[in-house]
Amino acid sequence: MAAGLQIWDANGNIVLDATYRVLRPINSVALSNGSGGSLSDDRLAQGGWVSFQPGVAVGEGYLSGGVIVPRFSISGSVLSWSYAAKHSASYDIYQDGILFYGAS
Amino acid sequence: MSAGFQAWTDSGLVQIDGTTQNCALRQTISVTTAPGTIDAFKSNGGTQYTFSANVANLTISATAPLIALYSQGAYATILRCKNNSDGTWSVQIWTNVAAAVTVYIFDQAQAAVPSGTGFGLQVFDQNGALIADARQRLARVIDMQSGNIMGASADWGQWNQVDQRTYSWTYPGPSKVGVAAIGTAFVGSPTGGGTASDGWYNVSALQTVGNTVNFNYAYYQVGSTSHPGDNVAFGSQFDWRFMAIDLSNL
Repeated sequence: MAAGLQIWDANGNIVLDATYRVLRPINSVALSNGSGGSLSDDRLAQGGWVSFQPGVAVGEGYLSGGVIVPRFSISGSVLSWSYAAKHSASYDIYQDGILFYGAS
Repeated sequence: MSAGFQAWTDSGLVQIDGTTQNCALRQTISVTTAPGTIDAFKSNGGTQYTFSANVANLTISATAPLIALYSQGAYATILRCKNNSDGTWSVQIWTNVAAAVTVYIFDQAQAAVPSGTGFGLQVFDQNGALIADARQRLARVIDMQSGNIMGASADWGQWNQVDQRTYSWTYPGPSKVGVAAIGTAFVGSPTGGGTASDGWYNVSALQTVGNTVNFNYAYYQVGSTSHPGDNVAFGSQFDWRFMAIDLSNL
């Protein structure tokens, strides 16, 4: 290794060196009611990640409908999230939840 | 940044930047799944039906949880991780058979400060919030995978039933790899109703053995029911994803 930070644990195991991609959480977005959106953060450009915490299980949907699970994409420094349009106004529900995102 | 500390990988990726939180291990919990119930859709009148299934329901404390599972004896996934808006989250873990699962909860560095005498390096942002601590175990990303069982768009549609789909990844280097940021594919239907209904469901789940991750999207029959020919659902219900995290020496 030419340069960089190394950290060992008390047993002498490397827990960080210059080859390690680590997670840096940037922020969160509360997703509700099927609202899509996007945001831009330069830190995402080196590689971004999402971690969605579903507050609604798919099994909470109605028999005559479906559960609209959100989709995510990261392109460059832009993170986008979206929900499909409802098929049944009465019986489709959105999967709400908390989206954490960050750089890695 | 006018002052502070930064660290990069040898390929130029930022590890610590002096302003952004890092993700550090906060807690490790061993759970054992046992016969219980999962939600199995509602009648159009709003009555929640359930299926019998192997589950563990737990409440965790975290600011911004990144939950990693290590499950050698079963395929495991997370069906729900609900924010209780009081610093806790209600998590439901499903497994295909009753099994022991280790749950690693990573959180923002400032929420996972180790106790006891300090040593090493600590990094703070301009507001004095801890963003990295050499005593912490940072979440190291090995890989990210995602897909859709049907290769579907997100929209409402109909697909032929798929009974099983499997994938496997092995990561040279780490001795132990877990799965985090899990997205679960799930479709199903009760054919009876009420509590512990008959019916069927398909769910994606992940088994971790050492440095290998096995993916299994499978059909589960509950009680007496007819095998489905088609799935009518939103395409995004078939989305799955996970992040492989290095759990070696944790």
